[in-house]
Amino acid sequence: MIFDILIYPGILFIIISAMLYSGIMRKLAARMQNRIGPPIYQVFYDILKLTGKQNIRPVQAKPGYTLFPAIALASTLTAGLLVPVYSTIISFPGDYIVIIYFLLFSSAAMFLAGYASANNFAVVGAIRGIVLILAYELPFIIAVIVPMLAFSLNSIHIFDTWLIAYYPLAAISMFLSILAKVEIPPFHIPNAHQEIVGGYTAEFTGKRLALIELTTMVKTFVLILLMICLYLGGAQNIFVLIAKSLAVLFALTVARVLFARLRIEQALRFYWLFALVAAIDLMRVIWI
Amino acid sequence: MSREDSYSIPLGPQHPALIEPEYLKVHLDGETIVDVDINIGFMHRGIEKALQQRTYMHDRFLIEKICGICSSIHTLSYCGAVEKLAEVDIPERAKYIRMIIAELERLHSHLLWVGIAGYEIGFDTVFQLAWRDREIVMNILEKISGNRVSYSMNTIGGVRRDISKSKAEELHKAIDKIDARIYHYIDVFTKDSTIIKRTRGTGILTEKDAKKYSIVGPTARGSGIFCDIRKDDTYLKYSTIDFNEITHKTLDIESRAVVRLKELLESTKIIRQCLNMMPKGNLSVKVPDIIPEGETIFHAEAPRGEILYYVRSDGTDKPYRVKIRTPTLANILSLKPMLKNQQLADMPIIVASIDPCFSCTDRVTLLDTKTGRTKTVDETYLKSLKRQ
Amino acid sequence: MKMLTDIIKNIIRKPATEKYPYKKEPVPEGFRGKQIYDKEKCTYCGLCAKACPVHTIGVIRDKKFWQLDLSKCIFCGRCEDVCPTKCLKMGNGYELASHKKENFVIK
Repeated sequence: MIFDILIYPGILFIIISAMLYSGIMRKLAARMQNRIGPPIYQVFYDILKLTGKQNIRPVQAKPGYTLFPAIALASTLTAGLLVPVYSTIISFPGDYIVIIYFLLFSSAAMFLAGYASANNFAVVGAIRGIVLILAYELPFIIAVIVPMLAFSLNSIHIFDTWLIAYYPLAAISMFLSILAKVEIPPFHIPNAHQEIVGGYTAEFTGKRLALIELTTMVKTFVLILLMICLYLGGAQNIFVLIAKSLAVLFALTVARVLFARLRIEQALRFYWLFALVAAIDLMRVIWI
Repeated sequence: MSREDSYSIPLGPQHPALIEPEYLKVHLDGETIVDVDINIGFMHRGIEKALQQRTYMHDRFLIEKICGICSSIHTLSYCGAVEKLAEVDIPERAKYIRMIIAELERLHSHLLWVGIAGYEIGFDTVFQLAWRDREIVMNILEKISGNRVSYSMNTIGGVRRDISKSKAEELHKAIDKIDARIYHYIDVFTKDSTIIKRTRGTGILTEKDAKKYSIVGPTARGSGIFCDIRKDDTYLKYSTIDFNEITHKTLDIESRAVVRLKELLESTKIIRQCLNMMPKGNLSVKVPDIIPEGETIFHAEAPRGEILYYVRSDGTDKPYRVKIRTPTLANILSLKPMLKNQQLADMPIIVASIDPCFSCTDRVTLLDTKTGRTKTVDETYLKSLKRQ
Repeated sequence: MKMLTDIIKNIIRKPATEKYPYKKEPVPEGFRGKQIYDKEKCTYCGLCAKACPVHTIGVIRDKKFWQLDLSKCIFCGRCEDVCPTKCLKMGNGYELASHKKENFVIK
């Protein structure tokens, strides 16, 4: 049990594969942009470098500046433990609601960290992030709840059937909310580099930045797992898992290189319109 | 909401959206821009003063370093002005070579802009690919002139290197390749859904405002104003060449992008005609070191708009005064009407839409805000400002 | 979605970038790089020193001294143009970074 939680398929497995997937994504994106790109293990170097750096705390930083990045990573990892890989590690009735909460909480913690750093750019980024939460959370909740309502309300488990065939709209809304949750273009609005100098991460360096970056990577990986387990027929063994997750990663990378950044109000309009569309699937589950 | 109770954000002097140091103080109401203060002067290099202390020929190499992107058009205008003063007519072949280099420079400058525009709206693929395609132009320029950035082609009295037959063929091939890519980018900028969402209807500059602020170049042509020095006050051999002046009337960023991209098609057209019309002959004529007394101006169409050189000679081998007006200095004021009531998110692309080149722009005038009097500073005062 | 065709092509295409320090693109003919100086042919006339816009060439005729400081050089190629004996040529070298000042001097 302890081994399951800490090593495999628990925390260590999630962190390492998240970094690996992030590296693969960078390499893929580079190739799609006709570049060579960094080596896949570059992410490990980056994180290692950041952990070795000096911790700088801005004078004007508010309480929580140190704490929130750690909370963000911890809650994402907890959500990762609840998502079944090929068997559940921890499972209890209603855990899918807890997953929604933990993922939301990790986003909120990141933006609060930005807010606590009391930098003009970081505050704008945090406000944008929170507006974006309002935008994507509704389609995401719909996307998680539809399979639950369709099969079992009790707890999250691997759905052997390809639910994407039955509820395509909900599956798409899941995919789109992954884009916004991990800030992949066109929804990299809260950390817009050109507009607000990296947004909520503007004031972070060293280990805290490493925590924030790790959070984003882990969140990507966890959400890919969630997508597989809810809509893509689950993973019965490691090879199926790798194949399916790489396919989702490929789709995410295509989105990453294919779009320009939307404005925050455009993103809001887009998601709310899409939530309406996704709600059709929800209604189908409830009434039919 | 008034300026006083708004929230302000600095754009610059160090900001990832602008490569060069410039300070725009943006007053915000939420995400809406209430007002913007434009402060220039972070990159003042005292180049006009430096020009007075060197000979005409040495100046020519200093002028090349004013701008990294439009290095050829600066020397073209300067050499043009000095040749006007010295009353020298340069050989025909040199005129055509000057035009080819100037148009190639426009190609690489605008392709660079396409990349920057993509980068500013968070579209990295456009950025990477536009710069990849720009490399075709850079390589051909390197082959012709011997350097990627400072071509050093124009000199007082003509040009320094010839475009040989084999190079002309390579150039033909390169611009054919570029043409295909430009058609693709026009397609991207007018049809891609996310790009349209960011560029259509943002950063409106009306024709009236453009005239009021005396906007030049593609920025003005994007507001539907005909202003192209190549047509209006033709220089070199532009009068013998058939090309169109591109304007677009939607007034927004998309309009400026379309103007720039379509202009490139005209540029390739000009290069093809120049290569065909180029007569054989000398490359340069000798111009004496001492330039007769007099003053003159020369203006040319740089990639970013009109560039103006005023040269005054007092009959020695050093100019008495060289005054440079770069297009960004004319265009930078248009940021104010463009940015008002826009979203903060659109600010980088609006600022980039005038294709700013700040280090060319910077001028310093010390002004006492109470009395309104300007003052001149001397060397000792400047040295006293130096960090101890 | 107009860039989709580009992206699909790029996956198959060879990357446009190169691993620079390991693989170097050859410079074209006529490149203006680090100068090549032929001491035998030089007559110490001093034309290059006069033509140099950044005054980086020093010539003392009597002592047969000629020196070029690359750290100031802007690689305009004026010295090559004015040299009457063609003892000075613009070469191909462009990786000129160094820790030692002596490496910047051509004698």
